[in-house]
Amino acid sequence: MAYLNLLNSRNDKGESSDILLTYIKERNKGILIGSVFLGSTLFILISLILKGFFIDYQKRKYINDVFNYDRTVLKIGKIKKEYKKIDKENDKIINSILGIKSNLNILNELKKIIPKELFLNKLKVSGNSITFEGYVNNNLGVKIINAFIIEIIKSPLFLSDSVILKEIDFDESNVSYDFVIKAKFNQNMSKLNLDMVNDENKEGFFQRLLIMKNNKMLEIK
Amino acid sequence: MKFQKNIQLTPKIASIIFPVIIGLTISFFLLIIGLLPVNDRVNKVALELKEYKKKSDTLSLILNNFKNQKLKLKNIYETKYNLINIIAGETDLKTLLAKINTLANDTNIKIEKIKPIRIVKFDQNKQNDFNSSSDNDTQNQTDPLITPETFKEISTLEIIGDYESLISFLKRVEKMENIILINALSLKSSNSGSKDNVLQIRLDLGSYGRVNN
Repeated sequence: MAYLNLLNSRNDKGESSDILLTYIKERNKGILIGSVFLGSTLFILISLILKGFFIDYQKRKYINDVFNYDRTVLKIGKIKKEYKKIDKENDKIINSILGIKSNLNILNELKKIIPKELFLNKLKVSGNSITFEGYVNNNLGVKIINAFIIEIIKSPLFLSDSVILKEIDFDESNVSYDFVIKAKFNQNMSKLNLDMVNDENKEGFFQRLLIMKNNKMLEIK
Repeated sequence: MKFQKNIQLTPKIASIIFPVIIGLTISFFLLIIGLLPVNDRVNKVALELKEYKKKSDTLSLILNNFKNQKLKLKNIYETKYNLINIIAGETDLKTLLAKINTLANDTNIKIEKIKPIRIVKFDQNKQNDFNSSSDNDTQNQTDPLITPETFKEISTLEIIGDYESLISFLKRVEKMENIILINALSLKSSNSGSKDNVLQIRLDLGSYGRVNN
């Protein structure tokens, strides 16, 4: 109170100085501006917190769908993996069946390509190779054997490069030419079998392939 | 105290600036301590919400996809079942010898000898696969037709008959319900020169059967 009295008495005497004046208005102005800053910050902060709660609330509404989605995606992943595995196994089986050599087909093919004058004593099919042993009772024996070799080379069942004439012996006692021919089977039997499956007159193993074709099992090939 | 030439920090200006600076400082600290982390958290949750909405919108598509995948899996299992049927048929392999005997009689083929060699099951086949991959042994290669549902019986068959009978016999053998592979075939003329050329035939058979559960 003593300070106010002193200030008032000095003001009355015309001794006004900045340091002796009160700045309540200015201070209030400053407090107001400072409060606006602080208030704005607080307002933004509270708005953000409220927004966070609202988004969180909204998120919870979708939680069941999301759980369902994630579970289904996992299941799809598992199914795809299983599908891939079975598909691979099926492919292996189909390729393996397609690659089977039909011995009936081999014997039928030989029946077609063996010249009339040529007789087979021995025929050996082992794995991928085949051996022909036979004879020709004819003066033109070598020519006939050569014709047989050309037919083997021409046949799609055998690898043309693999056909080898091992020997031709003239047997004086029987007046015959004995021969040994070796060959290897075409390694791409699948393609050959696929070509033949369209021939409806084919029998035996090809009827099995025809069933597979009718069941659309060969479509992927 | 001078800021610039014309601006002096008078008590009047200080009365305004001081509360403003306090307000700004507190706001700044609030910004650093509260606002930025809260904003980050809210943005994160907003992104999650966006993802959740996206998942919710595409849920029906995913469920459809799941149905399709299930159908595809069912179809591939059906194909597998059909393939097993094509390999091993429905009948028991125990009656195979009886069937071969009937086929031989029907086609004028005389059976001289049947010798069962061994039965290869899926586990043994897998073992062969392991051995062949480590030893590069081509003889022991795995057979894809031997599955957990099928097995292979290897046997040797020696028969006698002419070429035409052999063709008829093989035609019927290849038509049988089970796949019967002829791994090796050996024909030998028994009386060369004669018109009724009788052949001695040796077949290494591999027949596939279904495992009984």
